[in-house]
Amino acid sequence: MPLEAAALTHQRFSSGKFWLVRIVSIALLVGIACLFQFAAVPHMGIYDKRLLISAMTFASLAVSLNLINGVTGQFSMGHAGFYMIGAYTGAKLTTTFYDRHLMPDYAWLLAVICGGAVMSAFAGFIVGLPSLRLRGDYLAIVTLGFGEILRVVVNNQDGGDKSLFGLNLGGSYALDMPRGSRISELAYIFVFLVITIAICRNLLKTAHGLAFLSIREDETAAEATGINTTKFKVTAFVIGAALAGIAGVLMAHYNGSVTPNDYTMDVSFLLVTMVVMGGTGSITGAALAGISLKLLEESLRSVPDIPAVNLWAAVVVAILFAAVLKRGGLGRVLNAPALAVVRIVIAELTLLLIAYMVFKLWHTQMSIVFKVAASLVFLGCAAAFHARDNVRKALPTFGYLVTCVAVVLLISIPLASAFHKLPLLQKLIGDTTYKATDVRWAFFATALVITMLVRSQGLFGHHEFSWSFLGRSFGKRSETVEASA
Amino acid sequence: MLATLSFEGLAQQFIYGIQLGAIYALIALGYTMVYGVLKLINFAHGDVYMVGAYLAYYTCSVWLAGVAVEPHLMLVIMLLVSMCGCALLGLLIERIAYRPLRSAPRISVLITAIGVSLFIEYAGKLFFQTSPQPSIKESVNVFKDQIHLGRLEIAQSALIVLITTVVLMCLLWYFVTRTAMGRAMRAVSHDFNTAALMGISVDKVITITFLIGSALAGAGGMMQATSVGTPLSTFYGLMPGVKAFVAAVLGGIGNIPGAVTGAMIMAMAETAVKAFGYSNYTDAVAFIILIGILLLRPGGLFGAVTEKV
Repeated sequence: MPLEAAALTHQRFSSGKFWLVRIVSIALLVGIACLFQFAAVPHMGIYDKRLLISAMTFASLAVSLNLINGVTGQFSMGHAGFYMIGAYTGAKLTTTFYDRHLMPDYAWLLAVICGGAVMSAFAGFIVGLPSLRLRGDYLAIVTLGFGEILRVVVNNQDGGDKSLFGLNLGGSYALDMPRGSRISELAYIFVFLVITIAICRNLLKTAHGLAFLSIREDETAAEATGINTTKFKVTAFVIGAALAGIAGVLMAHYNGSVTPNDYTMDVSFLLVTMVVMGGTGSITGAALAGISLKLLEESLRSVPDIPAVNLWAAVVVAILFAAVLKRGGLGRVLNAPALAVVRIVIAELTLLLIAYMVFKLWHTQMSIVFKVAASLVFLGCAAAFHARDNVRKALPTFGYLVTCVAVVLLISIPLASAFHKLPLLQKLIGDTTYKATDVRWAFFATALVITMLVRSQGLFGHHEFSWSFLGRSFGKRSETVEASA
Repeated sequence: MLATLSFEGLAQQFIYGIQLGAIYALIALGYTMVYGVLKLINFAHGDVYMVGAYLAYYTCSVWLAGVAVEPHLMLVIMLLVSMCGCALLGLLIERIAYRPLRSAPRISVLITAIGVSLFIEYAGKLFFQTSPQPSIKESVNVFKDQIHLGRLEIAQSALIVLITTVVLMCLLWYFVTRTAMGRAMRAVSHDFNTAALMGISVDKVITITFLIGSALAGAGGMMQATSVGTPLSTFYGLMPGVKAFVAAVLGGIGNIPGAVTGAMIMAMAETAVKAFGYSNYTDAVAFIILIGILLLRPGGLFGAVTEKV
């Protein structure tokens, strides 16, 4: 590190403001966690709590995968493998050694977390090694293979004679906890999510972080400037894997059981989808995409079967709306001056339809998360269409984001079966119904392909969220302060 | 377990291996051809194979169920329907998902390929029957008698599968080496940009490549589903796809004879693992072979040793 930078760093660390911000952030974090645990959790239903926990777990997994995939540019598709190693290490340790008289629960959890993190980090090291020779799609398939090999091995050990070398490390089993007590809690997972984000963010603020980025941008150039690419690539894998392992430990202890089916290829694919859609290299993007996609995935699980008619009607409406907002392709036809009236009619009708769907949704038994999200998306759609052209040009991301979410919503609203089947279309398509679980994945895949086609750098691109726009709107330039330690 | 295998047992397993290898080879050819011209791993290829199997099922059990067709002719119709349907699907995939990304970074194209694969698997559930899992009726397979060769038993269908595969491969070989379009394809595979400068319509070549590769996968799907009769699901093509990809890498991706050899080796390894009683581990073995080959000889058996960039 150059001298000036070192001096600057020193100055930064010794300045009072730096430490003040840190301490306030940590206090805030602990405060919010306590608030969660003691104020919000007792009033939450089991389902809502579970939803929140898995969303936060997946957000932290997405952020840790982002360090490997997005920041360092090493395309890994085996993240579920690291997650699984953490979970199984934790589960094995707890079932074998847990004794509540030995140490308090939180200390035990901390110890197990260390164990899980070390094992996962080791696996990350092993998997990181091929990344020295393989790039791009080959690395992707090798990491995918690693995850699958692990799962197959774990899946095939179910006690008794099937175990490997006399050790039974796999299978599905319940963590043998006395009184069925849970030692992992929502607040811990929340704190872990913030710590994950903080680690990744702070890493990228240092000179070391720039080395990771330089490998993504141009490996040869990075090497030419004297960066030890080998070291940084493996480091990215090790840190990412360790964080995923901790997530695994926490989730396994919250669930109170482990099963290989929780760590299939689908999990890896979902995580990759989150990172890619959020914006490769953007922590904010990964975290937000992690939370929202997981919430969406889980909430769509509870939805009844969807009449095919409604689904297809929604798809057509979504495509039309997207076309109205887009300029190229079908959008060019619809944006012709002669068709201005048609365009406006389509858009306004769509808005009305969405409004009606949202209105209907509020009268169903769906989760409140879903209702609020749907209403927000309606407002977004309305804003996106009614924004003036120059505003829309300045907000390309926003328009696209809204379109994408609108597609989500339009497909998912009919899932609620909140309104009756459209009679005319029903005659054409018939009385088929689709399972919501199938539709949600088809949707994720579509969203993934659309993201790649329209905005291949993801929704946030390489950008991060910062509070500086607040400062700017108050007329002064403020330093970026994030609610993280 | 080895002790239970006699010479006949080994030979029998060898024959199973060859039949499986023929199917893998058909899929692997699609991977290798697309990789040759586009430098893209078409993850959706295994799903094209799945669609081929489903098309065969729908042809014999739904669309032509009430029509009295001569059984041998029925098989031919099924094969043609599967091949044409899959060729069309491959064309659509290339046109919608890959062509707009021709100049995009490789990683975007790879993610798109994964997206397309997931889409076919899950959207397929909306169109294809998945529960109860359908399977092609045994009566459709008119070649299920066994041929006795000494103490060996070979199913006629295995022989037919092998013959069809060899015929298709000969046609492919003729196409690639003896026709103008085949030469254009080899040129594009050799150097994409120069080929374009020499007046070769690269888009057309890529389209044809996808057509042929997908049609071969469709043929593979139809033959496997008909001769083995495994219950179908939309994930039917996932593992065969992965294994065929491993086979293509094993033989040196982009190399057509290599793909066939690789497929045979993969199938033999898999049959051997099954014969020794570790059938649960076959999927892991495929990946272990892949990792081994990529680390030890990244160019594959017949490919030039180059870093996989």
